Amino acid sequence: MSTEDRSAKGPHPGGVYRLDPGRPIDIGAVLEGLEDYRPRRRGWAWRGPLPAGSRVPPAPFGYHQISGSPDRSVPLPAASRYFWSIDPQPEVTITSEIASGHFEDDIRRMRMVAWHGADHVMVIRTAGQSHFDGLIEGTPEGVGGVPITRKQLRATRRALDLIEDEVGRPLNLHSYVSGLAGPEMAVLFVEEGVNGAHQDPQYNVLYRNVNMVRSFVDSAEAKTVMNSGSLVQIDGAHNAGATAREAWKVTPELLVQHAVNCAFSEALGYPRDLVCLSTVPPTAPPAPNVRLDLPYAVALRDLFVGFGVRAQMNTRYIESDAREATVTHVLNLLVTRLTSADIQSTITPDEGRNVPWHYNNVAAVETAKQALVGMDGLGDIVSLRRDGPLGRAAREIKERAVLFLEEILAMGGYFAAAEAGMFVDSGYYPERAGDGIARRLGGGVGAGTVVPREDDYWAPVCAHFGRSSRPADFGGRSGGSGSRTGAQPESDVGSACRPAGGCTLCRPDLIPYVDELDPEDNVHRRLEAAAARRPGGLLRPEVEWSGDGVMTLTLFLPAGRDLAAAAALEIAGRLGLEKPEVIHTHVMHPAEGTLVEVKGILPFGVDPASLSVPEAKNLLDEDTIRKDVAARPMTIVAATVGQDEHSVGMREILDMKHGGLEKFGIKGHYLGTSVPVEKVLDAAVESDADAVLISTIITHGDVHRKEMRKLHDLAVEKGVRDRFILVAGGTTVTSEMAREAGLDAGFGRGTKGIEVADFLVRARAAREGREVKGPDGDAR
Amino acid sequence: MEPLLELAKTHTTPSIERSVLARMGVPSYHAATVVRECVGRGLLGHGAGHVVMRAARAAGCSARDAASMLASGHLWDEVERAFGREH
Repeated sequence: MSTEDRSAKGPHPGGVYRLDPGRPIDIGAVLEGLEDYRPRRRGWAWRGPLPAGSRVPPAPFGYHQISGSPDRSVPLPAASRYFWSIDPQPEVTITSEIASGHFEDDIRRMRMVAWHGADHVMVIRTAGQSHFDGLIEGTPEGVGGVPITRKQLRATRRALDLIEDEVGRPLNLHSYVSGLAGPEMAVLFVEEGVNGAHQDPQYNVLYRNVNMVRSFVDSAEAKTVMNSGSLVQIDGAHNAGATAREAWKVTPELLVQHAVNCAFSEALGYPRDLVCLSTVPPTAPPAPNVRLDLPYAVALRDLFVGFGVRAQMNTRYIESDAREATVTHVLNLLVTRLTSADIQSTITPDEGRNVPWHYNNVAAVETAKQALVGMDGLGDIVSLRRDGPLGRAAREIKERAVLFLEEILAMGGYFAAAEAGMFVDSGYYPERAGDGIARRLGGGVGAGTVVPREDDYWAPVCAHFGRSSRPADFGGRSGGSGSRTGAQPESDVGSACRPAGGCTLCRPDLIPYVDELDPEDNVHRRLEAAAARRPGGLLRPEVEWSGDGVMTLTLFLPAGRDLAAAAALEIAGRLGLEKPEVIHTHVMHPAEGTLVEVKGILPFGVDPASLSVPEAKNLLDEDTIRKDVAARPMTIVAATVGQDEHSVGMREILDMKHGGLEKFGIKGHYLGTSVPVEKVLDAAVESDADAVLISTIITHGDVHRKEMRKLHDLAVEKGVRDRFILVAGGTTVTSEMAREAGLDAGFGRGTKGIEVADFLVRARAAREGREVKGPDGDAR
Repeated sequence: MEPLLELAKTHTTPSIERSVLARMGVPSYHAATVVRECVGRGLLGHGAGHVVMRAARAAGCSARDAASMLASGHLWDEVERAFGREH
């Protein structure tokens, strides 16, 4: 089927699918015609920092560590009411790690995090892929991540291209070039426009038990390929911190691991700025963590000048408490701001209790954005004291790291050290606890698979590392000089592959597309299952997968932990939640009570068509209202009418401290309770008011309707109806009801002062033939 | 670093060779079969890409077609002969 045929049949006009911010992404459209899709760029995209002192209009603040704002985003919650809806973005890349197990659900989550300020999405691989000796194809379901395949990457990259257009900034896609298929993964990543990858030969050795010789030989090729595609690479040192029980003691080793990968990468021709050190503040409260973490952070940045820093948040000491995790992460961000980072990774606050949920990915991104923007320019006003304990501790870590390296050399090199169990020992080097991870040179997965290259070894492709000679009968120089040392020189790129008719790095048209290999375990079957969970578009709660039905209950129960947990499960069950499970308990007092969070599956959905949704309120912003009132003073007369002694609601609408009308400069005369409608109108005439507000409460026999009607009729009778904007409020009042009674508007339960102010300003302007607009030139 | 680099320059692995075939446009399932066969026949040290190029020359076809034929079990005798092996 040609592209035109597909587009003519497709649901999208002209065959060009673009995201509509008002609609969910159409996964079907993303998958359509995938065999012809090509990524539009290769390589990493950094944020462009703005000059120091840049403003984010209309806010008056100068920022010192921000980048350009996206075209579309969801600002921090406080922004819309108090800060002109600005959404300043830190200058560092923000990462979200996504691991739903379904790439089609990953894509939806990527769109969510992109709207909150993430521009780097890291797709976690399914358990076991690192020991798979080759590539996986198709879109099988994963565990704790997804199988990284050509189809999955192409669909994801295509979706990210669509999301890039929606938010108006580049988004980087990232996964892993490790395990037994590193070089193939690297080729796949360059071909499919993946922008960054974890790549560190030590990671395979220590944490995946891949044979060490295989790991380093593979790594040289993988890094050379990645470099040809300008991918950012991130090392694996942070895993030592995540593995050791007392993570703060492995800091000298972390520096050694960084050094090994940096030196190896640079020797392979990788530019420093694309080699990122993965670093995690090693500890967390109740340890005095900033004092423990900062010297390591400083030492690392002292030693590795010019390399990138990927600052990760702590995962080692996260329990089920999302609040606790968030505070630890904010302290990690303090360390970032007191030192530096190029990429700020985020860990979700629910990492300690489950595979992260949609909204916790967003929460983690917001934690980073909020804290980094909040600490904008910190280095201009606060500096680190290097002449005290900080400088001494940083120097000590460096000295220990140097001793560590010297011992490795004395032992005979990296392989000998790995055999001797030098790494991930919990002793604070040179102290040794003897619990390090020891690997045998001839052991591990993939042992015995490394073979020497023959004299006539030839790899007729670009971005190949090491000795390779084009044979004379294929146009090579006799004696097969070829490229004997290191990666092929720059000039060779594009020519090494000529005898083979080109390679996929030079000619993307040669890239073979492989679709599904398993007729059952694939995205198309899963999309059918998801649709079946939501027949007719029913709305169901969701945390990971479309229609999974999972929801949580938060309960405080006046009992100790065990009893409270049992009671919470009983309550969830009686409410009808299926498979209820306690995911968090927190003791408020051993006897007085416990906070419990329970998750369960809601066995039904709701039909959106059956719901009545109130019309969206597009309110003017506070400044616009204030300016209009300042330019044209506004007076109102207000009273609770009839036989009604309630005054709370009306006072909230009027009072400054409740964000009421007075806050916007509107002058109010409150006449009190049980005021006859006649008196209210007389007072309005007397004070030459712009508007009259009456409040009524629940009444028998429709008294509130009668009072409203009476206000209108009396105003007409007195010939002043056109002079006043007439408004009614009360718990049971609706706007329709008020207008039926002849008034201009009505406001019910939960109304905020700004809503009334917005209405008054607009209604007055309309009477005067004006229009009031917000700062965007459009009433919002 | 020099010993590690020297090791990498002078050795190869099944994954490196599959990645070479991938760059030559060979689908992953064919690359896996061809490299497995190269390992079994002791040909990996010549380079799987080299093996495919020899097969392509013998069959007078493209490298991609040759890889597909090798994956189906054809052309191996021609390849062995090209690398000077007798049967």
